[in-house]
Amino acid sequence: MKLNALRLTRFGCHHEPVSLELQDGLNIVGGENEAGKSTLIRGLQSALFDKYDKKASEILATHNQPSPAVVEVDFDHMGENHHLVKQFRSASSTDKGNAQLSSGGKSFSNKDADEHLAEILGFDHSSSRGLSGSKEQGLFGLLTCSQDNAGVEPDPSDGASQTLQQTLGDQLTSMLGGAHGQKMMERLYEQKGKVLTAKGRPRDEYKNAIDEVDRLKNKKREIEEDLTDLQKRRDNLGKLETDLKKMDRQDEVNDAKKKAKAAANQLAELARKELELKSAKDALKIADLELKDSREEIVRRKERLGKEKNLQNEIKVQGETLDKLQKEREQAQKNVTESTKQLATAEAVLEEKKSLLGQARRYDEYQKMIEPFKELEKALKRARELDIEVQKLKASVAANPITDDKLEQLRNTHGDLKIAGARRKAAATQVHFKTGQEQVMWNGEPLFGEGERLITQKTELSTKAGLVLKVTPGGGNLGEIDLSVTSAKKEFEDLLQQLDCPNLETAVERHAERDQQARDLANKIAQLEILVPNGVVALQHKVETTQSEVADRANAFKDKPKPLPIGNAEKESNDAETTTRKSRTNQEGLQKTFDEKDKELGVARQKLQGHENELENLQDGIRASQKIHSDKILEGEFIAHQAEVTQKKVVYATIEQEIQKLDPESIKNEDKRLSSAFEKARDRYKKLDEQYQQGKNFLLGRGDKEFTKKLAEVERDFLAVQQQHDSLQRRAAALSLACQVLEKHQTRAQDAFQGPVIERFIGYFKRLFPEIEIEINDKLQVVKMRREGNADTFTDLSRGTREQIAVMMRFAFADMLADADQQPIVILDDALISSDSQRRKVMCRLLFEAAERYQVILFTCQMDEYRNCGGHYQAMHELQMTTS
Amino acid sequence: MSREASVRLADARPEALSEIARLAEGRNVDAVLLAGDTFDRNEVENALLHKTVKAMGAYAGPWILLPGNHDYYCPTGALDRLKEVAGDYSVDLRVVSEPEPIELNEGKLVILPAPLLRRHVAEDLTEWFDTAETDDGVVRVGLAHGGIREILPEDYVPNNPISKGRAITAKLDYLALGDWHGPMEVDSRTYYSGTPETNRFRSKDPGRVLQIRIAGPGKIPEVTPHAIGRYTWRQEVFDLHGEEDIESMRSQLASNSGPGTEVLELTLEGALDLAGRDRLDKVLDGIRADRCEVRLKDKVTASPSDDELESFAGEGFVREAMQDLLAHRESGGDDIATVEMAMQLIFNAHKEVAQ
Repeated sequence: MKLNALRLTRFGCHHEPVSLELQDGLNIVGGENEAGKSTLIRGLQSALFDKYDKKASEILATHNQPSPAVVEVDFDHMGENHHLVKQFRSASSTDKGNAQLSSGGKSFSNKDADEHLAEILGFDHSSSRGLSGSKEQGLFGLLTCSQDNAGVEPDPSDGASQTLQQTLGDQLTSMLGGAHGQKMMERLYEQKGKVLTAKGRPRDEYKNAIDEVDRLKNKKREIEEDLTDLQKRRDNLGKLETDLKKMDRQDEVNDAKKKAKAAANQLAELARKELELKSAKDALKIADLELKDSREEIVRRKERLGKEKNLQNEIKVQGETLDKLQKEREQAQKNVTESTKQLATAEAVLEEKKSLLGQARRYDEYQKMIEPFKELEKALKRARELDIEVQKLKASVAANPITDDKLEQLRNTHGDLKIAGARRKAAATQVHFKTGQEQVMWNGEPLFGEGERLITQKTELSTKAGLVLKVTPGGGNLGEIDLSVTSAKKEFEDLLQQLDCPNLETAVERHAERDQQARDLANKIAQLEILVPNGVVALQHKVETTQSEVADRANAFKDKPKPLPIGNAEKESNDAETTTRKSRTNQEGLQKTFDEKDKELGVARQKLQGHENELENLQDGIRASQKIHSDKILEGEFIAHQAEVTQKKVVYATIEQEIQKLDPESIKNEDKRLSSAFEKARDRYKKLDEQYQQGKNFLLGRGDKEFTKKLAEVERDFLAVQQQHDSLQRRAAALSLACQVLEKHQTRAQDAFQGPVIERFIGYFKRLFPEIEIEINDKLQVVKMRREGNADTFTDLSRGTREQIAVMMRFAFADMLADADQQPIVILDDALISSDSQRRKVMCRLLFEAAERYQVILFTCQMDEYRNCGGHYQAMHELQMTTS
Repeated sequence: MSREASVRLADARPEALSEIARLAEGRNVDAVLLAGDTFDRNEVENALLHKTVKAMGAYAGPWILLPGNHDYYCPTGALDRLKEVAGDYSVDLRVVSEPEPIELNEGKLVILPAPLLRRHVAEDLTEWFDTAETDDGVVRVGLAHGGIREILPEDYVPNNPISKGRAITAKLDYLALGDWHGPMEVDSRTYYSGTPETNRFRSKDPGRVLQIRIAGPGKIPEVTPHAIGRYTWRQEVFDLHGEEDIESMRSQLASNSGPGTEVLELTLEGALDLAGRDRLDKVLDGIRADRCEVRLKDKVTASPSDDELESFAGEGFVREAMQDLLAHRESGGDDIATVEMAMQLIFNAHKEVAQ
């Protein structure tokens, strides 16, 4: 494609028609900022990509004219000339826009024009293409580099920002995948997304089918296990039934029962014999016991006689002991009586001594009361004197009116008076005068000499010479101040009169006098309170009471001998008390000795009594026994019992021999064996029968559990789900494979184009940065730049470097398209604005070289920098068209 | 198999019994002998037992039920419980649990049964027939379930062997045998009746019962088969190489099938292009709709034709991808079906987008 001309009318900032004529190679359009350079590019984009019926205000929000915006483009493409005119209606217009395209001698209008244009430029105008980004503008957008996108590097966080790589990738997919490649891939990915997740895991219906297959497998296994269990139980039941029938047929249990019964009879016979033996043994035992009793009776009788003799001796000894104890008790009793008398005498002496001690103590107390009583009387006298002084001082203080408050009040009033005076003095004007020979009149009165005078009211001073001086003293409220002076003075004098004082000084003196009296009064009161804390009356009452007590004590000792000194009385009393205590201890010891002897005597008497009773009982027993069986009869019985025991022993031995003959061990073992055999047979039958019944009941109970039906249902469901699962599995695998193969070939196709682009880019890069190594990945992203041992990422680079890289990348891509006869156009809108002068020179050479291969249009605000770089230069202000 | 088809086929067995009862009543037979495997297993639910006895209702009996290897006799087994259930209905139903003679028709007919009390036995349970004594003038009929090794296919290994000459050695007028799913004549006095309702593709002439008429002791029995099965189990194989083959198959299958009563095993072979494969899938949907069940063995290979590949000519890497898949397919491997389906998906998606 090669642009020949672009004309705008009422488009954006170009209210007047502008016309840009373009040539092959490098075209440079210079203009200051806001001159409308970018609007020219926007106009070209609108003509090529915006639909004809779009409103002008949708293209440029600033369009507010009633007339349509018009864009006219003249271009050559693939050997044919095309002329395009589009009119975008204004917002208020009801008319649709208009498009006219003349291509190779054919004319197209409106929609046909748009569609033909799309066909020429190789994109689908009916799709969602628009002007929202370079991606939608196809190769045109790809090769347009503005200052906004010059340094754009992939930014995953910004969805709206298309990276160069993405743009290339998308374009190549469209270009390399034919008319339907991209859409077809999207459709397959959509289908794949319905059965597989992004990570290739089953999802939704496919996942459900897998889960359902597992679930049904488990359920099927469970039911089959149940059925197998039932079958085993049923087979086992059949075996049990066979065994039971076999036992019934062979009458196994009854036979064992008969044998066990015979053995049991043998055992019963043995038991009977053993019972007889036991009876014989018991009879022998009884005879033995009776013989033993006879022997023991004879022994007991001999023992009683011996015991009777012993007791008699014992009683004799006890009698002697009793007599001795009786004598000792009598002596102890005498001792007690004597000691009791001695104790009574000692106690009487003690009582007398205690009485004398009491008298001595009371006399001593009386002597001790006299001195304090005298002290009390003295204190009472002093208290009465102090009380009189206090009363007098109270009267003097009360008679003096100059209290602290009053003196303070008087001082305040005096202060007020002084303040008022000072105010008056301050308000008046003090005049120092010296009349000399001049006659001066003071309010009409002459004034002579020298002196000072206070002017307190309006005063007129005049001289004969005609000088008149009217003086108004300071402040206009002197009169008011005078009044306050008078008032203060009156108040002060009234207060003096009230206090009966001629002046303040007297008042101060009288106040000091009153103050001294008050202090004396307080002092006296304090003394009085210390002397008589409870008051004078209370002290007087105490003196009177004490006086009465002293008189009573004096009367008690009147006309009586003087008691012993208290020390003597106390000694005598203590001696008597010691004597009494000793007598009591002695008496108590003797009493105890007597009590013990008395008790000992009682015990001896009881013991003697006991022996006497025992002897009596023993003698009664001996007599009774001899009365029943004489000693001779007892001997006879003993011999008879001896004979019986011998006979019983013979019987026992006979039976024992009979039992031994029966072989009891053998009988017992046989009974045990046969009985056990019978029990085992019976138990086995019972156990089998129980097992059979239990198994049968269990199976009958399970018979209606519908395992078979459930299994059939599960199997049916399983088959259905398995089919669905297999189908989805095949589909998922096929979709994965289809997408995988398509992706592989898409990537290969892209790589085939990207390789040459990278190669060309590196060639340009080395021209600008010969010392720097650059690393670019297969996505056309600058990964690293190494210079002087340091490595930088793309974002570390300056904006100038980044925009230079962006422009060179576009040259590389345009070169590739040019080689494929695609006729690219590279449009640069202030794309190198941040480059320094050195690099700009190199970029200028690159521009010039590129323009030899395809058309390059450079819009720039740096007119001087590019004016002489060899291209066709036009200034923006020269583009204005003359309105015809 | 679809759930609906399974349910329908499961209901077919009692329906066959019902048909037998009507036939027996109409022919005024002396007895109906069931030669084993009345049930698939002993663990059947009680509801099915009731359903079975009810289905027999049209004929009062006697019904002689021999336990087979699937429903061998055991306490609480299907036949043991069936006896209990039958007590609630006016049907003379006799389950054979002992190898003892059964007298019928006032002693003129004696059945000598060989019931299975286990699933499999190694000995010939019919051996006692040889020594079983019966009165003179009595018709002797043997009833057994098992296999005669000599006359069954080679791949059939009988677990419950029966002597081939048992009818002769035991002087039987007729030996009724069960276990083989299709009817089979062993000799003039020995027959397998086959199952009354077909339940597998391998059965030969299934879905029949045999009516036996014996004029007297020693006479050759007159055997009349009656078809009573509802469902046909059909196996077809087609070799498909183009649209014409597909149409031919469609019309051939449409011409001779009872609505909903055919179980079809369809084996497809051949090679189709992608459009043909797409067409085949649509035709198969129609075939399935008409049948109780279709078991498909799809071995048809699918690959793009030259014309189909040409339709991708302007599609850049898409064509490359198709050729890659095609090369993969031709190189062989386990995932050929997946490769073909992937090609089919790309082809269909491309066709849809292009439209």
